[in-house]
Amino acid sequence: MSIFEMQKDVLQDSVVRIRTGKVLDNSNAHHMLEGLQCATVEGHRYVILNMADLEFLSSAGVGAILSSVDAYREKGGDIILCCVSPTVRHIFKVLDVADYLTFKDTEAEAIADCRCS
Amino acid sequence: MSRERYELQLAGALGEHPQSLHLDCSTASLIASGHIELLWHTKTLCESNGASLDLDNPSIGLLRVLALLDLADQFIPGGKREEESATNRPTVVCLPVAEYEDQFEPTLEAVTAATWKFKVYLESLPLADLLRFELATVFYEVTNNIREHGMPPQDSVIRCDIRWGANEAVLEFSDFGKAYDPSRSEQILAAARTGAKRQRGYGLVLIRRLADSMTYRRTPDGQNILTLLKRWETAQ
Repeated sequence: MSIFEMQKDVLQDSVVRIRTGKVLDNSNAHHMLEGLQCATVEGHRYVILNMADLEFLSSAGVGAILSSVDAYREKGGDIILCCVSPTVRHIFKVLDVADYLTFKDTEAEAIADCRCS
Repeated sequence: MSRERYELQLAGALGEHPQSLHLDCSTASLIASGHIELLWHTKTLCESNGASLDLDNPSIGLLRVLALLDLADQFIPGGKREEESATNRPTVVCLPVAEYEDQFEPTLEAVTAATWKFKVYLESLPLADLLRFELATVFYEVTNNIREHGMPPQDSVIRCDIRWGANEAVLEFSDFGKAYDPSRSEQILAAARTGAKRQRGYGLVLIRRLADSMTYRRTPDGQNILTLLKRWETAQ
């Protein structure tokens, strides 16, 4: 898989998992945005954004995620970021948006969060 | 000082056929892997010219690196240095400050490639992972902002010059794109705090928050020069 490539899977009726590649920057942030917009249009209420492989996150990637969250929360769902490395999470903290987003340490916890809601 | 200038200075010094060459290390406070190669190169040239090499004012960082690499004896031998007489005045050359220079086209592909090249370079420096991440982020966000918003002419280049100190780096980015207003980031920050989640505009916010200071000027010939200072604590 290319470092810019993302993988999208439907885990269950209302939950989609998007696994990022190593990089989420201006080259592929629009793909992320499209993926997030498509998932909510398709009726999914949750996106689990697995960032286990992510090594570099640019402001464009942050913007794609941030601008999509409200659409999910309005439908009673959410975008849940999981497996985020400390350095990547640091970017969200620097931008003062870490508290606004939902983070889980593991994908299993993220899935459990969807089921509980 | 660039490698080229250092080589010229070294050649000039050795051309005087000194008995000993003194390498002033006082300005090289951040030791990059290139410095070690430079030291070996200098030592080899000295020996082939019949001169000894003495390191003057080596920093703690340099001494530590030499010790870690088991090279201390090679460059800082025990025993006293011979008394220098009027006929044996030391020849002094300055070990260059670590620098990084690059220039590239104002395209997304070139900006991405330049950032990756910079990330690889950062791996050679004794910096914490988070600091490397922050520096690479600043590099990418600045150069991408220049590309996207400054829109420099396609036949021009974005240039970066970085000078390293022991606990700080001065990053200078220059281009011939449109003039811009770095203070715009404060408006975006203010909007973000009110809960308005924008899709764009976070790049400048990241730059402002990751750098300790930022100055911008536009030269009479239409060049933008953005200078950032990044400081960090010494690793324990």
